[in-house]
Amino acid sequence: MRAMDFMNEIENLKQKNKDLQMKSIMINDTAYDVIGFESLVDFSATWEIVEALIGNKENKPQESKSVQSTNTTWSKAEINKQMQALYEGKLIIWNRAEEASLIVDPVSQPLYRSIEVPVNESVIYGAKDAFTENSQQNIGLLRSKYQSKDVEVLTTQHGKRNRRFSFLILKGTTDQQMVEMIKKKIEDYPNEIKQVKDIHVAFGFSKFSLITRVSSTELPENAMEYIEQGKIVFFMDGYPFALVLFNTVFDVFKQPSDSNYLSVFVYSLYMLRIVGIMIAVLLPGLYVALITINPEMLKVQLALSITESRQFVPYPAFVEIIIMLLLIELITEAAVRLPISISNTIGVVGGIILGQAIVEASLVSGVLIIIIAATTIANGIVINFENGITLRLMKYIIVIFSALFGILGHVIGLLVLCSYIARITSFGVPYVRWKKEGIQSENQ
Amino acid sequence: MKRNHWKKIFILLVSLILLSGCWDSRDINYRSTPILMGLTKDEELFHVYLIIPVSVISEQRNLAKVEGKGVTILDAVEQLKKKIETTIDLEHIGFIVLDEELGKEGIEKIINTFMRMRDVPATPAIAFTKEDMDTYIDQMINTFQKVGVPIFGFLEKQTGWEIYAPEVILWEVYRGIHSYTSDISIPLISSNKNLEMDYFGASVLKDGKIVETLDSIEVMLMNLLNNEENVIKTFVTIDDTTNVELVERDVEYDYNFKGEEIDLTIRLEFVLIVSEAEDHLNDKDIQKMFEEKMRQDTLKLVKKVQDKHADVLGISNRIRKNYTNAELKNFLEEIYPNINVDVDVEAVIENNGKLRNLNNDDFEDWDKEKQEQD
Repeated sequence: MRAMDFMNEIENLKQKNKDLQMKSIMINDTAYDVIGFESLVDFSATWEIVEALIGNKENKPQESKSVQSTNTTWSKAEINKQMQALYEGKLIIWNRAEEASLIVDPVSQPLYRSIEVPVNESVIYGAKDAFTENSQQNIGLLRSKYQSKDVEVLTTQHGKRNRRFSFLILKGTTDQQMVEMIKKKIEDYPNEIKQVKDIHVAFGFSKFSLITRVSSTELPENAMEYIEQGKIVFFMDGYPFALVLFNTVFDVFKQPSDSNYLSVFVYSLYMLRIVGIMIAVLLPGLYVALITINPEMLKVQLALSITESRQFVPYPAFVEIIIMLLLIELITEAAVRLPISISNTIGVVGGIILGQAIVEASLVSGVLIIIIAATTIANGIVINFENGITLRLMKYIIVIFSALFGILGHVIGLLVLCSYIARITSFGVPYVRWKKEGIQSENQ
Repeated sequence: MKRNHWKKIFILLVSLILLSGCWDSRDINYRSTPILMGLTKDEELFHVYLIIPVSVISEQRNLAKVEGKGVTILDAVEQLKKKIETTIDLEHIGFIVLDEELGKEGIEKIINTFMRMRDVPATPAIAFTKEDMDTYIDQMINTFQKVGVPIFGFLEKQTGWEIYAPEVILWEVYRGIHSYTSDISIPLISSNKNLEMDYFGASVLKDGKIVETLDSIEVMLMNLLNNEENVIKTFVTIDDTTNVELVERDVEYDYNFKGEEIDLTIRLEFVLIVSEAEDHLNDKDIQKMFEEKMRQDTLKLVKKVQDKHADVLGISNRIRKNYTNAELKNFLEEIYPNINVDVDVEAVIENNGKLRNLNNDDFEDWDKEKQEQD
């Protein structure tokens, strides 16, 4: 009965999937069928393994058992389980006579790229490997950095896609209860988890948060450091970044590989980044406030040169700065979308437009170009691209407040942002905290 | 519930925009920022002049003169505002020049008005001019157009003022007029064809009226006697051929109370560099000459201001804590003129120019040594 079922099922599948291969082989007068997806399994390379396995089994049945792991023993497993194995890229060897099957790990098709140099987060002094789409490989990267029995890996699978989530636990540091809770949140999420946004939703975070609660990092070195700080690091299959929960405000200007420099330099680097963040968030707002509402705060000479450069600009400073910021955002986005060979052109064209032509056409003032350039450059100084996006958004809030109430509004805007950041928590763990402070689950 | 939430946010945002009144604010290029105000009185009418930088897209910055007449200062300013279509921001005024005639009549009311006007800051420098205001303003503009930058010089505190001219700002004048124990002196300037402006010294104000004039040497002494200012690095001419440079000075005021009488010893310590001297003088001679000159000059200055019952040196301000408020009311009239002031000057010559001077001992020794070796 069962044999018929299985064969029927396979035939059925073969009709629907042209890449499903079934090959017959005769060893010691026994007929075997080898079944697997051609697109997932490299058959020519796997053949040796199959022959060795079956040959082994025939000749030395006792010995082979001890070598082979549990799921490579012959069994009369359920059809569903076998089908699932097929989809995961496994190979099934079917013994027609005994009606037993064997699930084998074959040589896979090279579907994953190899470990490469990080693309998004460049490091000067520091480990130069980066995560890939294969979460097994990613975990391997971390294990190779922390070779201890303390590292444990917890996995769960979710949804129709059968997506795998792997959590890394460092014994004694990671709060296991918290990991269990987060794992459960993912398992209980009714919809498909496609992107990081879905994780946010699954965790119950606001979709309109300005700050990434689940941040991504490309560098195993960073991820390891975060684990040691007690943060929770997990992988989503197919997403080539480690996801980090409970990041702090300090991660905006600190990264582990900084410590490879001289200490004095590192501290000045932190200062530089803080100044950069200030410039990126505050400078455009300050321009609007000083030009429109509180020019008396400028020094006379400066006021006069700004007046001169704004002489023929037809609209108010707020409109002027919004136009320029919009242009910069367009250039940034266009440079990301376009192929690298073309995106250079965007840089050149953008530079010429913004640097020269737009001032000569008296559409914006020359001083504003300097402000915008400083802002854009300073925006790039923060550690993670995600944090850069946060700053990009925040400066608009400051600009609007400044346009409304001048310097007073500028300060109010800053206050609003500060209080917003201060109230952000994820699972009761505040965003603004010292990194050493423990992360404890709510129940404790 | 959810809709309510959005309604609240909407109302909040709309009221934020409506209540801010941000459409009333004018961008910087629609505002005129006068940097100098001249004030004079002409047949019972106040006459206000403003110098406004006019920027055209060009390398050269130009200055424009605007004037207005009115019964009061504010009226004059309003008349003046009518003539210009841009908003006039008085917040950038760095310099207020008053006619000396006003000073003779008393400027208390004028200073009070400036302090009251919210758009005039409390920090512009104040000066008197002897010239006709119209000529003065014209001359300033002319000089600027010829020489360029200097008119902004007086806005820079570091470059515009010398130790020979007192630097006085609006709120200090206000304080000087209303304080029981201190008075203020206001610089006396005029325009000059070659330079930015001339200093004639300072007018000593008492209750808002000019009572005495100090020349520039006396003003320098006054600045030296003020302990808080660390303006130094100046040349002092002792006689026709000798000149020293001051590098450091320290002032101490020793008060001695003997019943009703008050003795004050002003101890001045100087560190000098000899910059110009006759060869026959040695360090000690120069030092003595300098000390004597300083002593005499200071005593003369103190006597001069004491006679006028005006305290611009801060002598009585330093002991006001010993008196009650009632006593302070007449302090300048009754107690201050009777303070016995003595001056004690001590000078150290740090450097005599490193010239070979046979009058100085160490050079002689060096010569002798050399002869002995030979």
